[in-house]
Amino acid sequence: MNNGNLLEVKDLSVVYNDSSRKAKGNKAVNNVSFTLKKGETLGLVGESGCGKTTLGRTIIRLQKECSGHVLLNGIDLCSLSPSRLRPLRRQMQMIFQNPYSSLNPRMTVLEIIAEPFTGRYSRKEKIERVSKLMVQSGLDPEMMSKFPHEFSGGQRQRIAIARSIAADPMLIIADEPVSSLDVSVQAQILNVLKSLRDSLSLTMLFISHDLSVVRYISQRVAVMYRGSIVEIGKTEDLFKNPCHPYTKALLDVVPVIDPERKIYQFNSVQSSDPDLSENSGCPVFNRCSKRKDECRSEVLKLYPCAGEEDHYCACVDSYNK
Amino acid sequence: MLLDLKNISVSFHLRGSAVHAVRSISLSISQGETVGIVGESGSGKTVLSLSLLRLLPSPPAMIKGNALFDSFDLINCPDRDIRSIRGNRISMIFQDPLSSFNPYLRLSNQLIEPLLCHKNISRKEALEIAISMLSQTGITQPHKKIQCYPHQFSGGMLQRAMIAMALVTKPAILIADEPTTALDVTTQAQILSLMKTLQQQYSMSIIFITHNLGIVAGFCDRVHVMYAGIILESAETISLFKNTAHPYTKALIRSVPSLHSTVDKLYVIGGPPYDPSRPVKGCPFAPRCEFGIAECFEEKMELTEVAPNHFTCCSRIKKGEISL
Amino acid sequence: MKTKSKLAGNSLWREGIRRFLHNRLAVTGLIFLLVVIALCIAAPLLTSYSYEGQKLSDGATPPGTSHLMGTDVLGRDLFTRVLYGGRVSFSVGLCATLVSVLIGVCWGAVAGWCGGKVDSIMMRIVDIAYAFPFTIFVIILMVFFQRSLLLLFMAIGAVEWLTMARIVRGQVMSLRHQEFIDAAIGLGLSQPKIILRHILPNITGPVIVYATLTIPAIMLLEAFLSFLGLGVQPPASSWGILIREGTEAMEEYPWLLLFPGAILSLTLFSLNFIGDGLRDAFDPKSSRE
Repeated sequence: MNNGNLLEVKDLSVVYNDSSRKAKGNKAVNNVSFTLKKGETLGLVGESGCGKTTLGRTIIRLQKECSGHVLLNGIDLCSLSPSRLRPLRRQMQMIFQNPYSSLNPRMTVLEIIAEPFTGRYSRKEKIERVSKLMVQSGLDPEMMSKFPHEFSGGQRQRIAIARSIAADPMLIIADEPVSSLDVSVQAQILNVLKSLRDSLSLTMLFISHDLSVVRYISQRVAVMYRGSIVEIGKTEDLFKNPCHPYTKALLDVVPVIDPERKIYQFNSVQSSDPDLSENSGCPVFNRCSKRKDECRSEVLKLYPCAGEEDHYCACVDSYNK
Repeated sequence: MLLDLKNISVSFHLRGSAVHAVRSISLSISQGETVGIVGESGSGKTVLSLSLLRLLPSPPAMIKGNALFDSFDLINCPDRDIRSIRGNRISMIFQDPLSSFNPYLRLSNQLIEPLLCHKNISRKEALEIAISMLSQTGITQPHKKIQCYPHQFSGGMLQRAMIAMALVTKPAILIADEPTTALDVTTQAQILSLMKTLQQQYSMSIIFITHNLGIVAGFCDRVHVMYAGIILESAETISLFKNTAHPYTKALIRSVPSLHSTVDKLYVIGGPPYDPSRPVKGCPFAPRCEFGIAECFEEKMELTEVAPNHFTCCSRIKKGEISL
Repeated sequence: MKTKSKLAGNSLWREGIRRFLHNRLAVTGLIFLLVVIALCIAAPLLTSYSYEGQKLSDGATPPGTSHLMGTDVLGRDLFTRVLYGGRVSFSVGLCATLVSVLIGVCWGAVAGWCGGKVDSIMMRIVDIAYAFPFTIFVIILMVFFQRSLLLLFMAIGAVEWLTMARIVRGQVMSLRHQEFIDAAIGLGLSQPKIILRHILPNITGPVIVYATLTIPAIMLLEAFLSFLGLGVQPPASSWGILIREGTEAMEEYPWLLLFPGAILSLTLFSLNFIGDGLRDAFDPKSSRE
């Protein structure tokens, strides 16, 4: 029935919580649809305010109010009552951005990682399982009696990763897990995530604003802007042949280690900050020579990109690219 | 030479133990130059920048060395001299724009403050200068927006306002401590573009502190790579990336995931991270360096020229024992 | 696989206690408090007099060898009365604090966790109760019911819970948005389990601090009520009663006011120093030096 799709998101919309934005009718997540196959990693990329975090939190049902459908293995999570949802929650786990607030400061590492299976195993079994998980995440099991504040940011993130796989989930949503870490630590954590994903055949939704990180870890990428997906496709395709002008502009302005490329030459796309830019619809509307009336619409429809399989773009001109 | 730093060292003394945040830094900046200081957290780059304007609380911080600017030694001159320089001839902008502004005062009051403090002009004139500066930073309707409070602005706009506030006295040097780290990529590009324009307009020097090698590559003329409180490598930007002369710099470049190609596994710098409370023998990067040998722990850390205007303190590179 | 190895963790409690012990004022207060409590508990061993035994012939003697603190007008040994009075004052202080903590934590936790309408209603009740005149309330209680120590505990505790509820509500509200709570929800834990396992351990710090600062407030309140004749009834003594009796006789027999007054003040000082010390010690901002 679900043809190999672990996760199916259909017409998902989330309205803003605060009253001023609610009045304007703006949506944090605007009619988003995509699928995720088992074992696949989808990178969700976008700037602040694009709704990627809200989307992740809605899928995992931390954000309750929404319209649309989130199907995990065929079961629509949005239609379940809280008591029926609770046992299913273990199947999807989240890794959060801030390693300082995502761990309970009063619990030891052992207690934190063992929480998903409290009450099921004897203490000895628990310790064994937690040690294994710690080793898998690159931590020293001797440290399991320590408290979160005794670890560095990178190590805390490893604890968070160990906790998330302890629940034996089908889906992991990583919400900017390396954004607050140093470059060298970021590399370590990304390697851990990649190797765990491969060895445990995990399905992952990787949310980040960093295009290079997303490229490294994802097999498919979706680019979001103001609540809608503007482009989605296989990583190689999207990065080599970006279809939507917004994606192209993003790729232009990412600082790369190329001293010949002077970053301050690029000033092309309008800010994604909803307070600064006036128009709704396509982010490059003002500059586009091929713009049409549909481009101004709130809901961006995805069109297949010419000549490429499984590559969709919200630009009405995609057929011609 | 506009600013000349000689053997700056900063240490913090707390409860009997000493933490050496900056061990010995010497560098110089000429007029109109953009100098990048690159390092990860714990390298001492922020402490160095704060020490130039004496913004560190003086016990427990102990600052030694000389920072020659004009006829002043920023480290050792009397307080009233450094106060006349801060915000006037040398300005600073920080990472988080929201906490750099007083939430209770309108932007107008805060933007004219440096002018009223250092120049002998009236409030009205100061306000006009501030409004003109704000419009130069790309904020539309500046005369209206200047009457707003900081919380009414978004991150990108506030950062522009902070740049306006820093440049309103037309300083000779702007110290920017990770000014775009908290911003989106598109906003970052706009802010960097803005800084470059204003720099050219006012012939200003910029000291740009960051951990992002990509920004440094595209923005700075000269780069100093810091680790554990010392400069390991120092060169013109193109030379630094094309002929890297220190294993740490090379390792950093390799750890960054590339936008244009995929690898199977990212390069990871091994070994324990630097602990500032422990004394360092020889090269502080040696325990983690893939080329580290016993002699590295005995070396004197000195920057030596290995190519035109390209300095390194790796003794093995200097001796030609290894190539990167 | 040993977990209690040398790599045992350094919990935030231990950090806090270490910092507390460096605070000289707080430690002095703690020592003084413990000494006074020990003396009060050991009262029967320390004095052979009974607190109510009157010996009119010994009436109103100043401090001396047979009577350490002197006697009052009715010949009762003041030292004995101070010690037994301390028992009453401390027990009222501790019990009423316990009641206020229990009610306050439950109320505040529910309001803070639920938020929205529930929180609004619960906090408006607190606001209204705050405005209620406490003294009149206690008088009414005392008039309609038998004057008993238990009733006094309940009456005081029933009023002091308001501040605790506000504090707990604030703490719970800020904790609720922390990501580790999201993680707990994501694991499928039920709400009561989350509150018990994740919220409560993280608010015990502020609760202990404010409870420690509530005790002196309650002791003072009890002294005030007893002073007015509304609290503990003679011949039982409490520091409040002793102070009242002392004030009546202070011109002629100053020691009758001096000793109980001094010991109450010093005890309140100690408790306040301890409370301040605890607050500084457990302040989360200073734990990351």
